[in-house]
Amino acid sequence: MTAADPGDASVRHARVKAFFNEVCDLPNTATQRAALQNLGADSDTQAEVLRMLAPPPGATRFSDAVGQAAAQWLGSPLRPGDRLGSWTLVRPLGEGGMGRVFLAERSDGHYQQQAAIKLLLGWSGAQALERLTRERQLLARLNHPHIAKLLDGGTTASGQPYLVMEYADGDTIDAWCAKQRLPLAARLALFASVCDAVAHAHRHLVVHCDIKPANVLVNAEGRVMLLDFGIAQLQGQGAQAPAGMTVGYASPEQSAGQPPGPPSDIFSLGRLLETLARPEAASHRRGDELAAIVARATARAPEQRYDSAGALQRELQRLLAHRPIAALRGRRAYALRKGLRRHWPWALAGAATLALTATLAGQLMLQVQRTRAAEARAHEAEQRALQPRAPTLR
Amino acid sequence: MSGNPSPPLTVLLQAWRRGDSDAFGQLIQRVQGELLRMAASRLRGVETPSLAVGDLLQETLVKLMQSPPAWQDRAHFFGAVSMAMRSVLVDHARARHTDKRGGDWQRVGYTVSEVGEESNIADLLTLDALLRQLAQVDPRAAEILQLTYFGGLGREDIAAVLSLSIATVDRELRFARAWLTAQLQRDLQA
Repeated sequence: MTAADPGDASVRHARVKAFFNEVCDLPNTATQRAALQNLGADSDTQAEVLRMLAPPPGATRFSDAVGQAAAQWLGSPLRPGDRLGSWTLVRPLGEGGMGRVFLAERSDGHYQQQAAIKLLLGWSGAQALERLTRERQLLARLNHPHIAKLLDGGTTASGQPYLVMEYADGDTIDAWCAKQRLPLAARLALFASVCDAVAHAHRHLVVHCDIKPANVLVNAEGRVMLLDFGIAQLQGQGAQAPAGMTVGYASPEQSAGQPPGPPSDIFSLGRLLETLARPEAASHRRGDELAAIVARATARAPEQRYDSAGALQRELQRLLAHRPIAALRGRRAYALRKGLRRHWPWALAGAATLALTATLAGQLMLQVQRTRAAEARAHEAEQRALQPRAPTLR
Repeated sequence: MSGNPSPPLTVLLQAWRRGDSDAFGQLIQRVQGELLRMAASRLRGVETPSLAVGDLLQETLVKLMQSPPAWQDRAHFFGAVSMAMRSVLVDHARARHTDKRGGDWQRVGYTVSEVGEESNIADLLTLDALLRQLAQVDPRAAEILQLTYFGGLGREDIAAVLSLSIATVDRELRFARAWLTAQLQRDLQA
């Protein structure tokens, strides 16, 4: 019955199958055997077919095995009170009856600490877990006052990996701004902290990939905390949609399924800035400039955006200091207006006592040129600065 | 609410067919995510997860395949996803088996009764090995078994997906199951 030649095996299999199909509807073994003899089956084939026709002892055995395996793979649902390593689950946070994010407490009795535990999908097999370990080490290097820190990680009893993150409680940044009725300058200051955190991560070659208000919390003391750095990548974007990224915050290249890099984060920062500034900026004197900054941060082509989160942050500082912004650089009339506004007491005094003479105009122009030269130097320095372009978390 | 930035399934499937292993990972994450969501909505408040994973799979795949394309694509889709489920579950089972036993698995015949998870792992790995064996001599029967066990499809769906009559599918299934049983008995006697 064990033919060495696979061709032989196929022929033999086809023969057995043909005889099987001929006699399988006959009522009992005796008639089946008689039919096989009548049809001219050799004795090996007869024995094989009759063995196959014996009633199967456990038909559901394999579907049970597959079902159990799938249930294992999906992971048994965790519940409050369950322990993962030195953490005890307190209650589910966020979405889903399966509870993929939990509030947890340290249960080793040493000291009290709360954390958010996140279960990751799509990581099975030794290789994948090894890669996850490397990614975790990368994330653990982030150490910034505005980034929720990765504390720990491990694998559940059913083999599902999880991450333990610093737990941040508070309002989402947009809700906080609305609740506190923050003026534009205060909103921009909060946003600057976010830029600072993103710049820190980019320097450590970590891309956030899912910057949006829901991932930026402000606690009761007004401290900004950026959640889930690099986690979108680890979770697999498909797996968490539609709870995941909001359409407007994902860069065009991310929406097209390309691997995101630092410019994708700049895009999302631009959208966040737009969300935060919109209520205040519409009626604001600097509305046009803010719009230009948002437009540059969210340019369709990644290379047209700000080179770094730091560059975006410095641009906002220029805006607040009434210096010309890079997004409108090269517009002469704009630069002149900026120069006038910055030196208005001096210009006003001059205008009051004298007619606006050629001398004054010349002074102003000189000032503007100096400012622009300084801007150009700063821009060059920004260009030279190390840009973490390489996306590391795929 | 449809903020899904990852590429459409058809794109993933094509990329996977070209040998892009990232596409495979994304495909699996997508299926797993969808399965979890469906399981969550189904099992809310229930103590233990139901083992009607076949139903769950089938619903999931149909849902993932929302816009019904050509039947040829459907056949490819269900073939690809059931294959993907199979390899993920087998990998997972093999890893768990190695964890528990620290070694290779043994094929298990019918009367060897182990209880619980280990016997399930062994059954799954045995099923995988037998499907590979069957595919060499009878690809159609192997495909139908795979769609049954790992795609969660019933006889009517299989008939539609493979453009076969239901009677043909029934006949193939009956034979393929009998073949599996006979192979297990042979292993036991050997």
